[in-house]
Amino acid sequence: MGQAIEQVGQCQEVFATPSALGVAGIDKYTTPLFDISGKHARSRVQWVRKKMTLQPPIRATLDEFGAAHPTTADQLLPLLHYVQAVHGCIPTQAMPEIALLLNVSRADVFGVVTFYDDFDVKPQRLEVAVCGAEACQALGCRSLIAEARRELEPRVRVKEVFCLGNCASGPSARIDEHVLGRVTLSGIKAALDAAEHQL
Amino acid sequence: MTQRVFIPDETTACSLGTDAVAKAVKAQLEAHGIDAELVRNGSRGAFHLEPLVEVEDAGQRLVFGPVSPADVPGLFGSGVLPGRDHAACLGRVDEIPFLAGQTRLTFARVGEAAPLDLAAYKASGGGVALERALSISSAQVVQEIETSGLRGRGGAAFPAAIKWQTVLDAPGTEKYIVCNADEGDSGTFADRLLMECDPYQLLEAMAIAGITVGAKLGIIYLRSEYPKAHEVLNAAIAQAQTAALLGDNILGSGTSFDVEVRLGAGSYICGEETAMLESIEGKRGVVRAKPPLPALSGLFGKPTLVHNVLTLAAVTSVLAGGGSHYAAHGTGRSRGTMPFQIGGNVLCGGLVELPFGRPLDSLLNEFAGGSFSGRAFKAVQVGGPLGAYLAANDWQMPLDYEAFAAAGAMIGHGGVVAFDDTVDMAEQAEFAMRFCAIESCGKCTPCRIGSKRGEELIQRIRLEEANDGDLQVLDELLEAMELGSLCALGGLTPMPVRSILKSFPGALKAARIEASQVR
Repeated sequence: MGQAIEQVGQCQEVFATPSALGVAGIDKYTTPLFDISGKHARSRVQWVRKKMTLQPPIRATLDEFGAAHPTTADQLLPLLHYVQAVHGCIPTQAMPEIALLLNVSRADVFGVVTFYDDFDVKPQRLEVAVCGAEACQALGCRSLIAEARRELEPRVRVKEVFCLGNCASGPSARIDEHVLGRVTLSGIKAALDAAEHQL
Repeated sequence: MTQRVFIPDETTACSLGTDAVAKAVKAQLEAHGIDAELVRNGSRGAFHLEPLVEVEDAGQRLVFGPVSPADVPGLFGSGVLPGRDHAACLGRVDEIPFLAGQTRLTFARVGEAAPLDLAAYKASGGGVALERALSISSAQVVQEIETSGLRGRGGAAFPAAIKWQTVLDAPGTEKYIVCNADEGDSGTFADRLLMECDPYQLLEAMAIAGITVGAKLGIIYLRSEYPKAHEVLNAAIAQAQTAALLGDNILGSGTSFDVEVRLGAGSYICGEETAMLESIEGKRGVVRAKPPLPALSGLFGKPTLVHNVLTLAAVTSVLAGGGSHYAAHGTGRSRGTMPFQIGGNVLCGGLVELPFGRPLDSLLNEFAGGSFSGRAFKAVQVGGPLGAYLAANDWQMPLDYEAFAAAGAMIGHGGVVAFDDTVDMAEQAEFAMRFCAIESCGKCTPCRIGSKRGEELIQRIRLEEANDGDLQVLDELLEAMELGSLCALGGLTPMPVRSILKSFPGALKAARIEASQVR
């Protein structure tokens, strides 16, 4: 597996992905450092593909995305959002394939995945995000977060986030995409029960 | 004409339970055979009244709120829509003091209709600005913006006309419009409210910008914390394309411009314009050194007009009503109106659009109506996590860019967060540093390391382990961050800390005497 990843890194430059946006300005970001074309290159890519131990569903997810979107470097965040939405995380073994699809380096993909809070490398448990920013601090979110951690973990992950844009009705929390205003610990518990009931 | 009942479908309104209320109202309407249409409109931003139910009565909109599902039978149980004489009626929309006291230009349409109702948008003056922009030259559009005195509403307050002129004059045929909708500042939600409740206004403004400077593609960089705004914007873009407000042939003019939404991924620093451009390009949100200015070398190295949601939206008011009409509001060099957002420990929070120049105090007392906890206010932070904490003696200060700057504060994106007298100012100072340490992109040293050291220093002060020397170090550290940081995150994090040192003496003080002074 480790060797396969190394190989992907070496041959990703093969993909001189044409800019699907057709925008000249993007070219400098998609032009490969050096160009290996022809049969040899193609077979190496196929070899790497065969060696990859990607789970078929993730492979399918990448193909779906590639079919519907340009495969330029600027599509990295949309692609990561897509993978995360379908699989709940960005599996480490998917990163070389993502790099290959968008013609960027694995380091770029790893760097982006780990830079942004939204992307997880491992699938997450049910999560409640509690706002820890100033507007909610003014209404006691510090103790709410501490209580929630004490009472709810490890059943769910309690994540401190900074601002849900619900600042006039704090403290605020979010479960899935559902924002709760003027929230209390019992309110969070009730919403979690409802969310788990739905699962 | 069918009667209509309006119940908002907007994040804050929903967070307070409007979905359950809407369900209950629908059930009551059906149970009693009331012939009325239930419309899910945008919120008017008077969040203390949410869930807010409006009933249309002879062309007037009557307000009931806050309504819980349990109140619904009391409103609709009699088999007819509740009228003005109903005990729970708060009067017409324009009789609600929180709304009546405002001057709404940008937010005039918000809450009136369903956000995606294009016919209602046009009926309320939507599209007029775009038609005007198509009928005059680019230079005239820029001139109109210059006359309006419009400045960047995202925080930096840079004159908009200069940016437009720079991008217009920049060589090259490939240009971009980027709308910064990465509204990460705590205490701010105006961008979200506008995008969720009046998305066409933003799209129209972006089309105007594109036509004016010669860009073909606009990108809205939206924070991922706003899923409802994402949904609304995507639907609005599709509708606008059908109606030729966007697309290859805008209003039959032959000009093309399109808009795409890109989602952020939970990073505060991506609200900084150059970090945002990096993020759109698919990279880590690391800030770029300026120059080159994004207006000359921005997205993909091309001239890019970057504006906040509110700045762009204001352009429709400027063009539709005329620059001089817009400039008639305001004071000094702060022209027009500013959508302020009142949040934190307040009784009545929400969106308050006012002309510049009113005292900060009017937001706190006239609109907020005191604190939520019922205790006295102690501090107000204006302008997000990088804004100053102001004590009572500063609350008479006019809401004006220059007045705030002179007092070592900033209006920023217009967020006003109030704290009651239980707040520990030293804890707030420590948080300012902690927030910077968490959200720093890590490119420049003053921000990356300075914030961490600042957090540690303030911790020592709070644990009463600090001496005078530590305070001196803190002061020097703040100066290093102010002068040496690449972008506003490191450069402005000292602002809340300094304001606490200045306005709340005693919050951060040395507990121990310098060792060298002990004899």
